[in-house]
Amino acid sequence: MNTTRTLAAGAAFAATAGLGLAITPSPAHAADTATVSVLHGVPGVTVDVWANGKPLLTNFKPGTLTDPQQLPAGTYDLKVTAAGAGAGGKALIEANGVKVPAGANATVVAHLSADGKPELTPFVNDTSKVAAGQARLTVRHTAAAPAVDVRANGKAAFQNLVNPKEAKADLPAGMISADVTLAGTDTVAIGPADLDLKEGTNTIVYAWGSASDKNLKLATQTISGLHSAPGGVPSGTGGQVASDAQRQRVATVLTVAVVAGALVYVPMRRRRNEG
Amino acid sequence: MALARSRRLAATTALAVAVTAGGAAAWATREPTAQSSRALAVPTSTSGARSADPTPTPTSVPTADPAGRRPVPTRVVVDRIGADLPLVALGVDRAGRMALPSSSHVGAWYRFGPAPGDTAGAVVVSSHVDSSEDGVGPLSRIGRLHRGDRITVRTSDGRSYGYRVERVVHIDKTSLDTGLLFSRSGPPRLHLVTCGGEFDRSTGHYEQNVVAVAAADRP
Repeated sequence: MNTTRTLAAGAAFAATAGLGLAITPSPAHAADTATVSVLHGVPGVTVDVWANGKPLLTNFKPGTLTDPQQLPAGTYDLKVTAAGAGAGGKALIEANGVKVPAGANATVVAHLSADGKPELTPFVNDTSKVAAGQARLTVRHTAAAPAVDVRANGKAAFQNLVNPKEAKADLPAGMISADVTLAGTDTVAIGPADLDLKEGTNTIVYAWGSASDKNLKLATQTISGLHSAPGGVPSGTGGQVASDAQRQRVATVLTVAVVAGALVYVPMRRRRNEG
Repeated sequence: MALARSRRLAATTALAVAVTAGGAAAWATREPTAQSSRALAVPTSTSGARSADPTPTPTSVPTADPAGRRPVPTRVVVDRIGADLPLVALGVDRAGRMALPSSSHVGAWYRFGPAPGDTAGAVVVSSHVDSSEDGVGPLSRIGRLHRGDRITVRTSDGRSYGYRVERVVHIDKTSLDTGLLFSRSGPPRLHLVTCGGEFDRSTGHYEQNVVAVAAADRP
């Protein structure tokens, strides 16, 4: 719960930074920052986000993902209200005295719990390197829906994922067709959707909305720059160049030696004979 | 007696000269000494000046097409060494190394890295120096390239991209910094890669990589 509150503050601040309404917390060093994105995954409610009583993000619409922001570490009181409700408006979600820690890369999601109540969940994004040629796929269940399975190209990729958990795997980069089914069944809840898993990225897919309201959707976030270089370039298998070079070198050395010796020996002998 | 001594003197002198000349020839034809991977690093002073250029350079670089595909290199031409190879777009092999066509007369472009026309990073093109399948390939002559020599890469959209050789680097594979070889940052450049050095028959591979580092022409 502590982490939830902590990163929720980051979420709010991300929003403010995006709008250029920077509310400066206690002075922070450049290194004391976190990278935070915010996803609004509560259907039907356009919201305002408040930090320390000041507007951070206004008119934040469902399905919107903010750009990642570098946030100074600091402490905030946060409140999410219906859009236009004002600073004193009724809190849909609230968290006070929360700290934004340095060094994290996180996405905070305002979403429905499995039984349909609005809540904030922070997810730490895996920004570790992926192997050359690979891409990371992360799937997060943030919908008012029971456990689900995720299929990639018709085959089970992740099973029995529940709200608010995630599953992830590193896969060969490329296009996949993904869909979400009710756990243990072939009943498709969302999709199929084409996903371009670009090499060296973490593609994060969120299932959000409500099954009972029939508005389940997918939102996608991509974190790039996680690529690795190949292990090497094995560009020679024949050995002929090395053999040829070796043969040629021996021939060159012998030729030079013989010619040089002859150039000295022959004139010396001739001079002696003439003398 | 004098005759025998003079014959011996001539023979001894000739032998000494032959050994010296042979030694000199051996030294002159030795394998290039391996360099550090740092030779692949972009010099920060000059490249910094270029990348820090505050004036945005208008480019006519084609962007990705609607389907998300981008033009891919189809041919590399190096007039100086008479090399003209078709290219295929490849990724990595099962061992996680750069994948290559088996023929030494076909090259690969590393499809996960920068492509010609990208504004940053090294386009990596490689071909076997030789293969057990079809013998010695054109890139075996890569060591003859000099600073200023031209390399042209053609792409699937019919465009040509020019590069100018800056240096040729020999690096032991055991000390190769693949992060530098496959760099996706820094000024746009081409790394034309093959193998060199001694051939290790136990592994079936060469001990060095030979890399021609070439700067992209300004668009």
